[in-house]
Amino acid sequence: MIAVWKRELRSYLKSPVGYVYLFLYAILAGYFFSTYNLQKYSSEVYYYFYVSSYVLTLAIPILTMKLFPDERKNKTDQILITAPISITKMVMGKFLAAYSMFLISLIPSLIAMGFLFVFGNVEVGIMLGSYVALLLAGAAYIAVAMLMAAITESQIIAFIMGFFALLVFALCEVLKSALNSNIVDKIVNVLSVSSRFLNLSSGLFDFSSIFYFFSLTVVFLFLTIRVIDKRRWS
Amino acid sequence: MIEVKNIVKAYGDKYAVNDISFKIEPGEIVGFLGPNGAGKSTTMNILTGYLSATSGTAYIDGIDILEDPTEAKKRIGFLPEQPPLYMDMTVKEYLEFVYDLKGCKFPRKEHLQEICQLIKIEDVYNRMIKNLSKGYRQRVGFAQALVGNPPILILDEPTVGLDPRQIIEIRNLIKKLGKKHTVILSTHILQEVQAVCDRIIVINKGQLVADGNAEQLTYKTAGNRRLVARIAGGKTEIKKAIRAMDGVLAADELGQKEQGTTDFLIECQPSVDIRKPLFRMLAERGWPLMGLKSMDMSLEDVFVSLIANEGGAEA
Repeated sequence: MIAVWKRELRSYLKSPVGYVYLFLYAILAGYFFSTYNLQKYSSEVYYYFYVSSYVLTLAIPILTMKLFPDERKNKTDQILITAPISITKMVMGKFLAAYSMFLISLIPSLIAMGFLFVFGNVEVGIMLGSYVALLLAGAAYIAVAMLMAAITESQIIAFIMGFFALLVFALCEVLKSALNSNIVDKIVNVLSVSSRFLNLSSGLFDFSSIFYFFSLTVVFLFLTIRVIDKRRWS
Repeated sequence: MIEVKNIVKAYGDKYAVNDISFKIEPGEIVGFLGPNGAGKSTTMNILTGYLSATSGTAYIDGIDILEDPTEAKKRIGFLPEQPPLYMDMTVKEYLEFVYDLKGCKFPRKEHLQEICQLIKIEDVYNRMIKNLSKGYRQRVGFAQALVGNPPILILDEPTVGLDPRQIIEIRNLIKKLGKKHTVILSTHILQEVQAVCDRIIVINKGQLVADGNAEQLTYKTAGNRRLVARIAGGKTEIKKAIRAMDGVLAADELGQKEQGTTDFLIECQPSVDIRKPLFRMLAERGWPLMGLKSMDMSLEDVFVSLIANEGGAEA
């Protein structure tokens, strides 16, 4: 697992993909920090994190799109699958590599928050809650986008499918007010990332939201493992 | 060491491998021979755990590859048809990755160095894999299979795409490795199995059509034995004398190719080796034997006839 993690992380840091991701996230998050906080002289961090969660729907698929399609194209999946490690460990190694990149991409936000902390008046509870929300949402998003990468052989399709899958989770709340139907409400309540994100980032220690992100991650990782394993049988 | 029992791999209603069984003992070098699309790669992919069989089982050292894949895979070094190389790594990084991936325990630097010396890739050790030639890439793929010193090596078409000198080098390497490892290699090149393997398993259309060493295969398929003899002397008398021998089915003149001699084509029963009695008879009668050539089928003929028997080779 560690071998796979190391290799993937190294490959991120050597290829343009890793930097495109880091750059995109830094630029967009930086832009929102500048408009919400700097230009308004505001220490309100809530918007910054909330918008960050939407930026991730675009950024995370960049991170995950190459994880499986590349291996299949270059037939390097043969060495992974015939090596004496389980598919679970292989998938976890890849997940952790993507998650490590995600953590690296949060470094600029630490600088921004540090800035507000020193020169502004930040509510520590909200900031911590927001970080917890972001860390959990990042893991769940990576797991969802990874499944999309696992079921296709093309990087571009992996990216597009990952992006749309994440949009569904992030934006389905909108449907609620738009459609005003009971069934839709129920489905949206199950899927919606943004309501849970808001719960956590308002500084509430909301166990059900934490559990939601955690189980979303586990379920999608499990499905990814199943998809990879299933391919050996078909 | 390796036991394969009734393996079937079906894609829908098409069978890539249809009920193949065989056993391989430690130290054997076994060649899978068959035309393209015969099911060689599929069989190897099942043995290595890359694919799962639709039915049937494969045992590596008595371990069921489906029940305990991790333990079984530890014993196998696999070189797939296309070497599984990460282009964005150097050879060193790649082999270190493979070493970690396989969870090897012995000292890393020495182990990798030893392999690089054996495979002769020391001079490209720090180069990016994407910049290597096809021959070197193949060798790095080979090195990868050797990492962890697995007792079994499975090599899928190890010499495809190499130049003649490289092919000879790789073949010699396989022979050398065969002293310490059990080797299975697949190929559609006859000279390769002839040059390298102790035993040949011929696969065609997903089925095992023959299993044995080169002589056994030749014997099995050859039918009547045929010899061409060049003999000095009166051709009618000689012909008569040969036809009178035990086991001889026919003897015909092929004409004169050397002054004062006649070539004869002699056909005899498969169980009879006519050469010794023929020599004695000719010596007794005072007819000098100028040349004797076996017209036994070459492995190539055997291969073609085996495949033809099973309904024809694929185009």
